[in-house]
Amino acid sequence: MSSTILFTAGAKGGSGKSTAARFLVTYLREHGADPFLMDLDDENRTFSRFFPEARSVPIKKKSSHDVLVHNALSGNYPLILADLKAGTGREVLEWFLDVPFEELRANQVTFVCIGSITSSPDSVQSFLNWVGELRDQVSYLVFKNLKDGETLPDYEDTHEAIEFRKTLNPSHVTIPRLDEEYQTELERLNLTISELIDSDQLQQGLSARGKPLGDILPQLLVRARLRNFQRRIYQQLDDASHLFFPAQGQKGKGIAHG
Amino acid sequence: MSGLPFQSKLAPFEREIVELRRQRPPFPYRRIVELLKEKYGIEMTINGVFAFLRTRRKWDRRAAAESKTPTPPIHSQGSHSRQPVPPTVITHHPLGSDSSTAPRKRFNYTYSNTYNLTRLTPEEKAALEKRLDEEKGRQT
Repeated sequence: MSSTILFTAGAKGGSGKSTAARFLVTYLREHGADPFLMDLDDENRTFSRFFPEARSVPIKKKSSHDVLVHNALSGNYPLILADLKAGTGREVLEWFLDVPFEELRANQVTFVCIGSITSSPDSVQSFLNWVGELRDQVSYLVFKNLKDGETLPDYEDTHEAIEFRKTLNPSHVTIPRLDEEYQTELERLNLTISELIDSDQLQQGLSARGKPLGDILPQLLVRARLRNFQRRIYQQLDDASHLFFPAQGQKGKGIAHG
Repeated sequence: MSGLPFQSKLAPFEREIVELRRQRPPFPYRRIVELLKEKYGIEMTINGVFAFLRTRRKWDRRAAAESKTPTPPIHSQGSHSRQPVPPTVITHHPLGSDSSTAPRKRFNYTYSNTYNLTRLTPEEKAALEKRLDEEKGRQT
């Protein structure tokens, strides 16, 4: 059985890495996939907060990441989504440099590197550090997170980023700026937008997974705005769905969201 | 000379020189010297260009080896007097790379802990995009 390992990489802290991963999880689930979630961020465990079913992997040494490949080769997980530690640096990158990508490809194991770019130059720099080493051994999905500003000059106008876009053909998803109040509430309550809008327990003030929703999020117009926000992101993920569902082409194409 | 080849006046033209030598048949060193003189007014000997590329190959092999061992990134090493190579001229797999292990697509960037991206003017950006599109067109 083939397996795709999606991993968040090279992200500077606060660049929206886990936000991107969260949207991916809920998108994949909405499309019938059941990604195996691995939380390798042993500092924040953000992934586990939002998805308690995520496997928390203790990172004692570089080889702790071997579990990623072991799970892929087990044949039990067609999709693995791994959230790496923010500011993941050289040491984890070196683990990836030991990975025999060609051999794994022959075993139908492929990798998708998920980048998260903001207007912060460091977010671009740290991501390109990974790209510079991994190059075309993996596919790329880049989330352009506009939370800190509408323009991303270091991604749009630098020689290195242009070369990356032109030679390695990454897929892109733009995450617009979300109202801070909603963002704060979602973070505070460890909620995904999907959990909120799919809830059938709104009267009880509970999410689809039984978490409390607070006072703001259950409001009709708030839910409508968040539904639209999520729809815009899902529509872009449709265009990148060949990365997650390689055998089925662009599975998400034409699916109505929301 | 030990250490990394940071000082060469050819550094800004490395990409261009490497591309010329990558052609089949390779662009002769003699013509590269002439071209550098005509285009940029740079006086070099044939041996000078040859030595420049040879040193870069050595540097690249070292970078590849270091990337497999848990050592600090290249730009954090070395003496303070060295100037880092501008990122636009760093090439991962220049002349003589092992084609069996080289990636199918090039991406010319080397790990750095410090900001070293090169912002382009709209004109430079358009020219780069055009060049890369043309290269892609030739490959397909």
